[in-house]
Amino acid sequence: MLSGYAPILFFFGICAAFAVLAQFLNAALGPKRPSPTKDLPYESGIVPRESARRRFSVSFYVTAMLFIIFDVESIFLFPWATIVRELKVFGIVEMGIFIATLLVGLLYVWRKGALRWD
Amino acid sequence: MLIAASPVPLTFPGGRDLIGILPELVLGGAFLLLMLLDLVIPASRRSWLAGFALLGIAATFGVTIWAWFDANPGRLVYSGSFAYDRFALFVDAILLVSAGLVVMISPNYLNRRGIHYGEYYALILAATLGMMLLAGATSLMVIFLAIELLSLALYVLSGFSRHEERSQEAALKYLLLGGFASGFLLFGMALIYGETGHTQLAQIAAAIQGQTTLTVDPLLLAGVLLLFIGFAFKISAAPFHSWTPDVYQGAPTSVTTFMSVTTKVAAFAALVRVFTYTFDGGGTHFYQHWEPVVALVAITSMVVGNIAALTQTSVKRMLAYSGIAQAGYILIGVAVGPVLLPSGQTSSFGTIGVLYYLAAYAVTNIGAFAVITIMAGRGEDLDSYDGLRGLAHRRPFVAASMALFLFSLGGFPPTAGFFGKFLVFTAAINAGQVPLALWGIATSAVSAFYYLRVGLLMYQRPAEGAEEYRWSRTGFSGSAVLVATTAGTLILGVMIVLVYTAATASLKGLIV
Repeated sequence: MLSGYAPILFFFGICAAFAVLAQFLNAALGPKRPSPTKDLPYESGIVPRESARRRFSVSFYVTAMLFIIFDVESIFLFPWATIVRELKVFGIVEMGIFIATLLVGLLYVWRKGALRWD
Repeated sequence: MLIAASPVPLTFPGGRDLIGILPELVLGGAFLLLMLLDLVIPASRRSWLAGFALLGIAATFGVTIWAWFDANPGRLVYSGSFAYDRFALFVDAILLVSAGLVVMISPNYLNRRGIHYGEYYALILAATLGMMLLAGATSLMVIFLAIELLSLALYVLSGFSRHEERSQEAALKYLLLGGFASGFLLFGMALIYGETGHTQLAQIAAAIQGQTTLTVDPLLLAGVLLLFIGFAFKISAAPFHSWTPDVYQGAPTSVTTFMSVTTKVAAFAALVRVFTYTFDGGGTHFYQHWEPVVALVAITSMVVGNIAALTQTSVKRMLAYSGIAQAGYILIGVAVGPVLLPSGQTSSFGTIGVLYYLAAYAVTNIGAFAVITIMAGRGEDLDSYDGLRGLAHRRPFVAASMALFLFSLGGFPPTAGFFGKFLVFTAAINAGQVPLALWGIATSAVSAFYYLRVGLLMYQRPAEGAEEYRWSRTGFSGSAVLVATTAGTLILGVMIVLVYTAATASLKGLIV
């Protein structure tokens, strides 16, 4: 009964062995030519102007979170769009309710000032 | 490996499916409306929101009553993932009454604490919605989603007093440990799905019954036990209780009132549906494999809860440990399971005990917490035992009803708690599990000590020159809640037939 899982266990073993091996191989084989430029944080190819450790406005966090929520929810529209003809009126009403629910959320964050930037 | 027959074809949801979730739809609509109302109602009129929330709960309750008569016999809706049956509706009724009582005591308390925000009522409704979905869920996916909906709302609610460190600590603890418990729950579900090939309870039950070998599939059993751990966390049964005292103490008292009762009620409803009626294994002996674990957790909860409650000096912590112990008593009803009678029929006495106990626990515990909520002074919680000293001399009626709730929690007749304990202990003895009943009776005797200690404190005269706690006024809504819970505790303790008949009727209609 459990023997069906043997390949998975085997796979786990290979994964672990490879991870450990790669650590040593990397250290052993890789060339080491350190330079100050290589120690700089990566800023998309631009030379960083100041320390990255500073405070960010909490607005970034809220906006990013709201964006993700609406982004994920809008994904539901794509599968719906492919079968909307089969669903007929029911599908349109259903999606209308779904979007109205989202709209309540948007109204809420808007009126609560979560979209204001200062 | 026990892959059962082909899965149910997904059918297009129609009007009959929508009627099946009508109470949930009404409550969901009320929740959305409340979110919008919060935006237009000025801060000085926040108490109106409580009125609207109460209106929404009352409308849902009305629909639930109508559905009770309509759902006879019940049916599965949404391709077998939700049950429209009397069992779910019975639990819904307990949940809605509890939520209504909590909403009634909230505005005064929140105003005094200075944390009266409009989101509170929307979150209470969202949590209640999740609980109602949990009570009727017959698919592992719906169970998980419902638990997440209720948990997320409760995480926010427990940190509602956001300028207070203790409340934030409670919210963070609850979130981290709750996420951990969700992990157990999901892992268990994954294993069960892996072994049976189904997420719907009816087909899981069929797969377990179709098991021909004598040995039990170890991965399936592991899945069942992991699922139980997830539920045990939600009902705060020992040894999965470590979050309970801190969260109950740190959260605003009105939130504690709400979650101490409703989370248990909803999680136990799901526990009964999943364990007693799905994992019983029909004619097979699958039940015997998980029953010892449930019984052990029941005994641990009763012992740990009652012993730890003895040494508490905070009323909220004492009631938290008492809640852990009560979870143990209710678990007895789950552990005895569906007993095969000599006549070949199964007795559901244990489950009736669970339902009765839940109804009794709801009115009693809400009453006890309501007293602490209503009496809380300006800006602080009534938390220490000293705060209750001498209450009987200044507020004789409040003290008398608190004494009644404590008697009921201790299981003295003629209160609701007595019959709750009586039914689960009888079920245990009928099922031949006398040790379970004996542990229950022994720990009940211990519990009498700390319940009576608080009772005596209220009837003591405060020492000369000692500073007295400045209790708040009871107010109209507070008095109404106290009268309702007192009446409920007495009615459930005297006229046992009322709820017993409803519980029995709800079980007849239970479908998985």
